[in-house]
Amino acid sequence: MNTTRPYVRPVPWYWWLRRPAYVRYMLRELTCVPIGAWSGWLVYGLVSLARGPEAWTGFTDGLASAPGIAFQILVLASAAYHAVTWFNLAPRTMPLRLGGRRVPAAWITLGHYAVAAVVALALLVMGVV
Amino acid sequence: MSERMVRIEVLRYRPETDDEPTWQGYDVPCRDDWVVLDALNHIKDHLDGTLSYRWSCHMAVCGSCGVMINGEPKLGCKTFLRDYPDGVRIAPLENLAIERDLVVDMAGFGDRLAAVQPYLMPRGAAPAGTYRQTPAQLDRFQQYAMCINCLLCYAACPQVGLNPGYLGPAALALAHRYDLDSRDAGRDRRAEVTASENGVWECTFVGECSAVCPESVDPAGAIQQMKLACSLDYVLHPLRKGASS
Amino acid sequence: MRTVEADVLVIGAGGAGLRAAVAAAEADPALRVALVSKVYPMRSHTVAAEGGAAGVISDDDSFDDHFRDTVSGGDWLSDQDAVELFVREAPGELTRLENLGCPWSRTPDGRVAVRPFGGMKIERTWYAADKSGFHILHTLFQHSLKYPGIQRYDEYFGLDLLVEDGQCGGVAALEIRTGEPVLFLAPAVIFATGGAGRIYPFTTNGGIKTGDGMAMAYRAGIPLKDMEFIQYHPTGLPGTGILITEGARGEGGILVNRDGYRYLQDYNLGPPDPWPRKKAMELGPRDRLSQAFWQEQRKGRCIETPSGEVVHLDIRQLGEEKIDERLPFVRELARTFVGVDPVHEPIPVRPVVHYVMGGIDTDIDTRTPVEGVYAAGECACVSLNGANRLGSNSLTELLVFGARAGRAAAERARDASRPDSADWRARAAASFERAETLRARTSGSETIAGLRTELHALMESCVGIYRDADMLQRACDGIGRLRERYGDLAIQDRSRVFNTELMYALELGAMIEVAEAMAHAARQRRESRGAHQRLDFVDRDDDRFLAHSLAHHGGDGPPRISTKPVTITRWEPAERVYGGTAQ
Repeated sequence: MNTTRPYVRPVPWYWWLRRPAYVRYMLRELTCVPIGAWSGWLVYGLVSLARGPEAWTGFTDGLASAPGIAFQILVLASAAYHAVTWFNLAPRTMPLRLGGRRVPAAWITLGHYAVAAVVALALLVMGVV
Repeated sequence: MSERMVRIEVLRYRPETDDEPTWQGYDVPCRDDWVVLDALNHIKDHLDGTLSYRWSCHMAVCGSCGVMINGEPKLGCKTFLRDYPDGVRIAPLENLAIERDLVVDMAGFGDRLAAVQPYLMPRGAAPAGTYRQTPAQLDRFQQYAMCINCLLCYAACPQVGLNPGYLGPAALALAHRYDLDSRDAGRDRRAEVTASENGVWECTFVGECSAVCPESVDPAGAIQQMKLACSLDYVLHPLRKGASS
Repeated sequence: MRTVEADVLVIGAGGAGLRAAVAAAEADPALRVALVSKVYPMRSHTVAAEGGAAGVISDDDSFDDHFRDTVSGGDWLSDQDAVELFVREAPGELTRLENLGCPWSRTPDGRVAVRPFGGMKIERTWYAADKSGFHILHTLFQHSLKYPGIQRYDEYFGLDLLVEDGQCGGVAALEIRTGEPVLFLAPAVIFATGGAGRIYPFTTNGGIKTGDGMAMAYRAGIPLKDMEFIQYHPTGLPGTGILITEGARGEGGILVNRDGYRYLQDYNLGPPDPWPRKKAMELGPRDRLSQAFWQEQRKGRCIETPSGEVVHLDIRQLGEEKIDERLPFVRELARTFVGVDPVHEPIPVRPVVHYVMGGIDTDIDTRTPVEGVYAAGECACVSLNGANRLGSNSLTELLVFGARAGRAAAERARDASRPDSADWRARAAASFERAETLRARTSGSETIAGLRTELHALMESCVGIYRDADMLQRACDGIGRLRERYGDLAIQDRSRVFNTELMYALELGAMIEVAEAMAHAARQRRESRGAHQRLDFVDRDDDRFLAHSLAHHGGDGPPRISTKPVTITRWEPAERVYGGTAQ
C-alpha cells in the first residue's frame, strides 16, 4: 500500500550561481588557480635562474611585461581575497579563551593580520637587503 | 490592525497524482504582524485544505516549519510577511527529498544524528550527585547545544546536496557539543564516525549553514574546530600512544 | 493492515514518553519498546517550556516545604501521597538528567543553580538558561538513541486504544507518511500525549496539543479527572500567545497596569515591598495572577493594543547583562514577535491558556482503571497538581511519573500474555473504518475551521478564567451540538500520503470530546477552587467539593460526571495564603 514516491530535486551544475554567498565561495576557492599558477611561474623562475643570465633576463622581462603585470595583479588580488576571507573565518576555527573568558573574534583576526604584516615586512627587508 | 492581499506561491507535490512538483498561487488577506506560517494556516483553513506542511510551536523552538522562502531557508514562524512586499514563493527545504508539498524526508537526518553518538560518554561511573561544571565550562559547549534540528543548514549546504552520504552540519555540530562537554570522554569514539569519510572532511567551509542557522549555533565553526582537533590528534597520537604504553 | 508487536507501547515522545521508554528499556533490555509519536520527538511541546524544573537541593529547603507549596498551590485538591512521592523523587531524577548531560545553569563554584518561582517558598527550580524544556527534551531524546530496545515510530497518528473486557491489547494508528493503517499490539500501553491547550483560541501551546491521547483513553472507558481545571499562564504575548516564562518574574520582573501600578497588591498578594520576595506579588501562584488580570480588565485598567488588552511585564531593572545571561530567549521572543526590547521597554503580556491540570485518571503508580494502561505527564492526572499547578513542577513531573510508568509497564510486560493479533484485528478494523470514512466523505456541511472557531469562541467566553452557571450551561449545550455536527464534517484532501487535513479533522474530534468533559465537569463543581473560579459560587467549599471530578464518556451523548475522594495524608485543608501573610 506504499504510494509514497519521494521526489529528489537534482542539483544542477550551476548550483553555485543560485545565491550570492555561493558565488563568493566559489571565487574564494578559485583563488587557488591563480595562486597555483603563480607557484608554477616561480618554479619556472628558479629553472631560469639555474639556466643562466639570459634565461633569467627572459624571466624578469616577462614579469615586467603588460600581460605579466596583469597576471601579477590577478595573483595579488587572489592572495588578498584568500587572506581576508581566511583571517575573517579564523576565529571560528580556533576559539580562544583567556582567563575563563572568550577572546573576541576581532582580536584573533587582527592578530592574523599583525603576523602577516610582520612576515611580509621581514621578507621585504630581507629582499631589499 | 491593517490587512493587505499577499500573493503566496507554493511548490506543490502530491505523489499519488503528480509526476513532479508544480507551483500553485494563492491570494491571502494578511494582517500586519503575520508570519509565513500564519498565511499557510489561513490557506489550509479557508482556501485549500489539501496543502500539507509541518508546524507546531510557532515560536522558533520546535524546528518543524523550515521551508525555502524566495530561495532562502527560513523558519515559517519567524519570517514576517511585511518584509516581503512583493509576496513570497515557498518551497520545501532544498537538498532533501520531497514527500508531499512542503514536507521533506526526515529519515536521513535521523540516521545521521544517531550515527555521531550524540550522548554523554562519561569517563567513569556517575558521581554521587551532580558533576561539577563551572559556568566557563558550560559556556564552552552551550552554543552547540542550541540546535533545534530545523534542517535549514542542510538546505543551505551545497555539500549536502552534492554528497549524499555527508553527515551534515547539525549532526556534526551536535557531536562537537558533546566533545566539548567537560563531563564527556567520548571524543575518540565519535571521531571514528565524524573523522571518517562522510564526516567533517566533506566540509569545505562554505559557511552558509551558520549564516542561515536561527539559533546561532555556528555549525561551520564547530566542524572546522573538529577538523583541527582531528588533525592534532593524528599528529600527536603516536606521542600519546607512546606515553601511555 | 500492518501489525507491530511490542512489549511496551509508549504513545507520545515528549519528556514523559521518552523518560518512560528509557525506564522500560533499562528495566529490561530485552523488552521491545515501541515509541510512537505523531511528530518527531524533538517537536514535542516539552521543547517550548522555558522556566525550569523543581527539585529540593538547597540546604535551607526541605521535602516538607516543597510538599506544602505544592499542596497549597493546588488548593488542596492534590493527592498528597502523590505529592509526597513526587517531592522525594524529584532531586534524584533531575540529578540523573544532569548525569546524562543536561546543561543546567551553574553557580560560580560549579553546582547546579536554582531560581525562585511562583508559589514556592524557597528557590528550588533547576534551570537551563530560559530554555529548560528544550534542553531536557533534547538530552532525553539523544540519550534514548543509546537503547537498541527502543524502536521509534515517528509520525504515526494514534486513532484508538484497544480495550476488551477490561484488558488492553494495543493501539490502532495510521502511518502519516503513507496513510497506512498499523495495529500496534502490546500488553502494556503508556499514554504520554500531553495536554489540550489548542481547545482554546489563545494558548502558549503548539499546534499539536489537541488532547488526542486523553480522548483515546476517554473513549475506551477510562475517566478523565479534574478536567475543569485549566491553567492560564499570566504572561503570554498578545496575538500569538507565545510564552514568556515565569522565570522573568523569578529574576525580579514586575507586572503593572495602565497606570504603571503594581496591581497585584490589590488582590491579597501584597505588600509590594520588599521585592523580590517569595510567594508574594509577581511570585504568587498562576491562577491568582491570571484572575487579577481579569479583575483589572473589568475595572478598565488594562492597556489597549491592536491584539487585545494587556498589562506590562517590566524587567528593565534587571539590566542587560543579567537579561542576556538568565533570560536571553525572553529577550529574543519579545524582540522578534512584538518588536520590544525588554532591556529598554516593558513587554505587553496577558493570560493565555497554558496547561491542563486534569487528565487521564491514574493512581500514584501511573496506573489507569484499565489493566495494562498507564499515563504520565500533562495528559495524566495523578493528581499532583490539584486545582492549580505551580510553575516548574510540570517538567519534573514528566521525569518522575514518566519513569514510574516505564517501570510499571515493564513489569507488566514481563508477566502478561501477549495479545493475539487475530483477536484484535476486528476491533482495529473498526477504528480504521472510521478514519477511512472521514477521509473519503465527499460531501458535508461542516468544515474544520468552522467548527474549531465555534469551539474556541465557546471555550474562551464560557469556560475561561471566571465562570458561572449560565456560561457553563451554554458551553455544555454548545459543545454537545458541535459533537453532533462533527458527524457532518467533510474535508477536501482525499489523499493518503501525508494527509494533514485528515489529522486536523481527527484532532478536532478529540478536542470536542475533551472540551465537553471540561465544560460538564466545570458545571458540576459549584465552588471556587484554584483555577476554577465561579462568579456565582465564590468560596471554596470543602464540605461538598473536596473531591476529584471524573468525566465518563457518554457515547453519542454528553458525559456523566462522578466524583472520587482526594487522598489527604498529613495536611488538612487550610486557608491558601500568599503575600505578606505567607512569610
